[in-house]
Amino acid sequence: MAGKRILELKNINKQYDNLHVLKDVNLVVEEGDVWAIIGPSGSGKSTMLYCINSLEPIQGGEIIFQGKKLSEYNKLEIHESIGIIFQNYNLFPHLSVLDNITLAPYKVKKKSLNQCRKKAIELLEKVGLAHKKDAFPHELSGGQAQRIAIARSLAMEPKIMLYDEVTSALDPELVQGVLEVIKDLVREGMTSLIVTHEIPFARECTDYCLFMEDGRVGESGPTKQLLKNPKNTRTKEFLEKVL
Amino acid sequence: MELISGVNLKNLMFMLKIGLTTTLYLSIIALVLGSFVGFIIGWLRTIANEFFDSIILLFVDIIRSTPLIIQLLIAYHLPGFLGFDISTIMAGSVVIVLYFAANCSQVVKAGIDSVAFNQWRASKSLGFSYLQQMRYIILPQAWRAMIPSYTGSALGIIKDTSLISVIGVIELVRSGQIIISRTLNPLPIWFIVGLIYFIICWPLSKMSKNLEKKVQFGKK
Repeated sequence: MAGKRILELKNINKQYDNLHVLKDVNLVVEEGDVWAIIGPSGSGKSTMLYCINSLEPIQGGEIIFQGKKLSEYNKLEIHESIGIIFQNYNLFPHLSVLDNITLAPYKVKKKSLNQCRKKAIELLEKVGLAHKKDAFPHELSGGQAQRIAIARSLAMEPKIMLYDEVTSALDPELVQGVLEVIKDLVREGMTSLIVTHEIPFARECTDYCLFMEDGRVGESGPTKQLLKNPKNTRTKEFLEKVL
Repeated sequence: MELISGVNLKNLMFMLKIGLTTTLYLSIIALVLGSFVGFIIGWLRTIANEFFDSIILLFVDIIRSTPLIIQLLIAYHLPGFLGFDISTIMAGSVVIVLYFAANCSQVVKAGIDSVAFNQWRASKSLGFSYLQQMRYIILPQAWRAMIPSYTGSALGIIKDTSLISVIGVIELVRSGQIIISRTLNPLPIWFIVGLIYFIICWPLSKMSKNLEKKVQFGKK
C-alpha cells in the first residue's frame, strides 16, 4: 500500500438524542485501502459512513480527511470528494439515467455539459449500462439502478467511495452484477469502505475488515486473518451466524 | 330583437363588460399573487422551526377555518372602523388573495414534504447546495404531487370570487342578478352565467390533466 493516510477517525462519538450510536470509534484508512465493515444491524456501520461523509454531525472526536479536520472543510467539498452509495439507490426519479449522472458535475462542479455527458457515457460503459442512458429510473431493475447510482457518484471523481449495504435491497441474482462493478473499482485502486453482509465478497476483495458491535469497534485487522481467526468471541459468533 | 326575454345584446354586453371583467380580474390576481404568496408561506413552513411554524400555521388555519364570505364582510367594515379609506374592491381583493394563498400554502407544503427524505440525503451527498437541491431535485418532484390539489384550489377560488358580491362589488353573478331584476326571467340568465364559468374553468381543468400526464416520470 502507498502508506499515505487519507482518512482517520479519532474517538468519534455520535448521538441521536439519548441514543449513543457510535462510541469512541477509531479507524485509519490509507490511500488505496479497501475495508469491509461488518457487524449486526444497528451496530452503527451505516451511521459511521454518514458521519464520514458529513451527512450526519458527530458529537465527539475528530475525523481527518486528507490531513485536514472534516470540520474545517466546506461541507460541499466533503460531499464532492467522498462518494456514498445507499442501500436504496436513491436515483432521481424525474431525471433520465444520463441526467442523473451529469447533473451534479454540471451544476456543482460547473463543468461544461459536453464534458459531463462524455464522462457519463464513459461511466455508463464501465458499469455496462450504456444502452440505458435514456431510460428513467423506474424502468431499471434494482441491480441496474444501483450500478447507475455508482456511476452517478463516480462522476464527481471522489477520492473515497463509501458503500452502505448496497446489495441488501437486491434480488439474489442481481447482486453479482453490482459486486463486479465494485470489484473493478477496487482493482483500479479506489479507496473504499464497504458496509456489507456478503462475507465471501469481503474475503475476496477487501484488504481489511472492521467488525462493529453496539457502536464500538469490536475487532479490526487484515480481512483474511480476521475472518479465519477472529479474536473476539462476538466476532466469532457473528461470523458463524452469517456464514 | 330577442328570442328569449331578457337575452339581448345590451344585457349580454353589461354582463361581459362589467361582470366578467371583474370576475377575471379577481381570478387572475388571486391566481398570480395568491400562488406566489402561498408558495412563499408553504416553503417557509418547510424550513421554519416548530415555534415559527406554529405561528404561520395559526394564520393559515384562521383563514381556512372561517367562511370566505365572513372574511369579505369583515374586510368591508374593518377599514372604516379603523379609520382607513380603501376601496371595496381593494379590500375584497386582498381577502381573496390571502384566502387562496392560505390554501395554496398547504398544497405547497404537502408537495415538498411528499418528496422522500432519501432524495435530500442523496442529493446532499453529491454536493448540491440547499437551493440547488430545491431547484433541481425536490421541486421538480414536488410539482407533480401539487398539480391536482393546486388545480382544485384554483378552480375553487375562481368560482368563489362570486362571493365578493355580498359587499356590493358587481361581478358575474351580481351582474346576472341585476339583469334579472329588470327582466324578471331568471333561468336563461343563470344558464348563461353558468356557461361563462364553465368556459373559464373547464380549460384549466383540462390543462391540469395534460400537465399531470406530462410530468409523470419518464414520459415526454
